[in-house]
Amino acid sequence: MVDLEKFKYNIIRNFLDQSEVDLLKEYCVIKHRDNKDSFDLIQTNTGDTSFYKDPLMQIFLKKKKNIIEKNLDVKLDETYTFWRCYTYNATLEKHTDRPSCELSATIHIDSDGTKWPIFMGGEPVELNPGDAVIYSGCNIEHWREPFEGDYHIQTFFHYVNANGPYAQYKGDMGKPQ
Amino acid sequence: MEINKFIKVFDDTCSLKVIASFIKYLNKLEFDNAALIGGIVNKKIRSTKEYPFEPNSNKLTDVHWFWFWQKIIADNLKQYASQFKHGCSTTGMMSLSALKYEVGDFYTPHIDYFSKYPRNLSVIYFLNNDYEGGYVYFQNPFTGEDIIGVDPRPGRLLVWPSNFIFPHRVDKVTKGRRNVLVSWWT
Repeated sequence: MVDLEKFKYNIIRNFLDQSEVDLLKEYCVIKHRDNKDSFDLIQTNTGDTSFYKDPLMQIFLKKKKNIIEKNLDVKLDETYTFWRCYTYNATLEKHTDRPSCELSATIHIDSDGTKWPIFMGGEPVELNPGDAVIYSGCNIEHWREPFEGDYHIQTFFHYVNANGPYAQYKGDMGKPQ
Repeated sequence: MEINKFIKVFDDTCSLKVIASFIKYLNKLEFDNAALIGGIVNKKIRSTKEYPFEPNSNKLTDVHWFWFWQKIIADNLKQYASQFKHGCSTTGMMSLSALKYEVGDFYTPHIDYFSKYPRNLSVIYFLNNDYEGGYVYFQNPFTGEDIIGVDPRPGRLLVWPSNFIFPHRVDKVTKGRRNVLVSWWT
């Protein structure tokens, strides 16, 4: 088992297979084009399209749990998902996450091709569609510089260690979004 | 009945950080000369540049801003309509454009309703106020005298009925650049 106190991040290439990437790309673009009221005014400087616990993503949260469990050799419980379509000038401020995000994956779905690394504790990480970074959300500071392209779709799967100090956050029940 | 009761402003309708991001986006877009109704450009009547936002744009950033501002305007128009006993039958946004008034730009007195474009409500959304001139003035519909001026302020939404009772103009910008959104509602 990975020492979770020291764990920072791992990159998993092709975390989603091609058919999953294709499905999610189309789904997210359709939802973005049709989004008339789900805008994130708290965590983004651009009010971007964002969905908390989107049902399709919740299915993937469950489906993909075992890949992360194997990678970290730890039993996980699902907490929640979130996805966002970042647009021009979106910035992700340097931050750590709340307890429900103890062990998280940020997965790249699609973009206009503009490079936009996520910084994990100061190290830039570039992802292709379908790639994921698994990271210790509460411990490692992560951020992104202002986005120069047109769009960048990213989804986040959040889990807690089923036997850890944040196990009570399973399902993210009653917690602020 | 007083005309100014139908001209309303709503303030602090969006955070300044979001407005700043939007202006940054506008600064990289290519604007065209704004036309009059019918598509004719006449810079003696309307001298400003326009960038229309379309919900079917290939640019997902444009799509985002179209719906984002639509929601902010719609939420405030609901409040505007609620003051009238029978509402004001607003059904949807006909268009949304960003306008850029540089030094020397202006718009002469006009109304927004035309039989071909049956607009019900008109909206100006102020994005900045670090410029001089460029004031919106509403006029007495009988005499053409300026009767109401509106201070610009980022996040301020100005709404009024588009009909002939509300002629208005934008005076010349004398310093800086005036960024606004304009939108008409059926």
